Amino acid sequence: MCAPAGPPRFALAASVSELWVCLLLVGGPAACSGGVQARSMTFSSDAYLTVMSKSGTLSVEVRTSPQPPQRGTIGVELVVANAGDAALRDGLTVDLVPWMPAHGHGTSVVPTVDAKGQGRYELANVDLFMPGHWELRTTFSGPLMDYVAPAFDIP
Amino acid sequence: MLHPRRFVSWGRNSTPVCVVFAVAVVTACSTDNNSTPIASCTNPGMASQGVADTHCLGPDGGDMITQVMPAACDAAVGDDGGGGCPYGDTMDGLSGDDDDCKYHVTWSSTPICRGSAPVTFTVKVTHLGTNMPLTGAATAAEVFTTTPLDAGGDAGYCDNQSSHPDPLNHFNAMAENPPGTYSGPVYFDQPGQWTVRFHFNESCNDTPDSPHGHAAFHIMVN
Repeated sequence: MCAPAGPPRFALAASVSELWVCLLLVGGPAACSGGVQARSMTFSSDAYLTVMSKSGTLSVEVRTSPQPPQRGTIGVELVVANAGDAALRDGLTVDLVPWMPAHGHGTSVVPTVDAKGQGRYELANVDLFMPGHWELRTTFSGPLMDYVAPAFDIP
Repeated sequence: MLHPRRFVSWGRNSTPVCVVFAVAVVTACSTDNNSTPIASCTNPGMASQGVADTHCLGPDGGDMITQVMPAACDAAVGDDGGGGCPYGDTMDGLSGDDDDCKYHVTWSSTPICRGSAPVTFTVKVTHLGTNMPLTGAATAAEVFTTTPLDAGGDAGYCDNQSSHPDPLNHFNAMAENPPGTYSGPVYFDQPGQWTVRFHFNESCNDTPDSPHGHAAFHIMVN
């Protein structure tokens, strides 16, 4: 017998309601903070780095989320423009490989790329899993071929 | 059978309920390695089964051993441009040699379960040839879902094209005790085939005779 009739049934409902209140107040946002949720990506208005492409025809602003970049999985925004007339470049295929030159390896997770328009390309799952010197080896293809490798140290 | 009085009592005094619930939540979700309960589940995962690792055996069956030179830790390293696979094959089972044939690695773990409770991995590392323990290696585990084609067990795929790391894994140095044996938490947040890649002396530059090394194993998570 698991469903008592009358007042006890009301009491059961009240208890469940209280548990939901507890869940919201105690177990919701506070519980497991820092847990499995991915970092949401927000980018500063200020570029963290600005680099010229290998050919010298592109200027690429680099922003990171968080900024400055920290150890772990981060987001990267690239804003690509012509170095000459500053026209923003859409329609590029972007391939980014995080790499540690001194260690001879990069990350084992492939970043995802999302073209946002206005020359902006957002990359998620950039897994800078260990401290040290990292390069974001980035190849542009499509209407043009070019390459940048913004670099920074992860403490 | 639910006892009516129990619910009546909860309904009239909610404070103890919330306190008990809060304690339970905090206990269950703590990330403090000293107090977090070890993961448990009814159907734990296991090391993927496959062919035993033999990549450090020569054609005559003898060991091919790379002599480690501690001074090479700080040696200048050339940039290989990122071509080719930077790691050896991910291995099956509970033991194997590192990708440069410097170390022999055996591992074990607490029950391999999904969730926010950690699975403790313990890895024992010895020098190939001497069987002396590898001490002070600041061993750390890199954890991610296995590269899709590699997960099929086919040789020749570089296991560095994963689509998913668990964000709870932070590549912290594992605790060493006793010398040459390292333990630390690992997290899995979805079922399927995972790779746990142990990095040894990761702060050293990567030259052929540097103490730097890696050994990766396939883990099946249910």
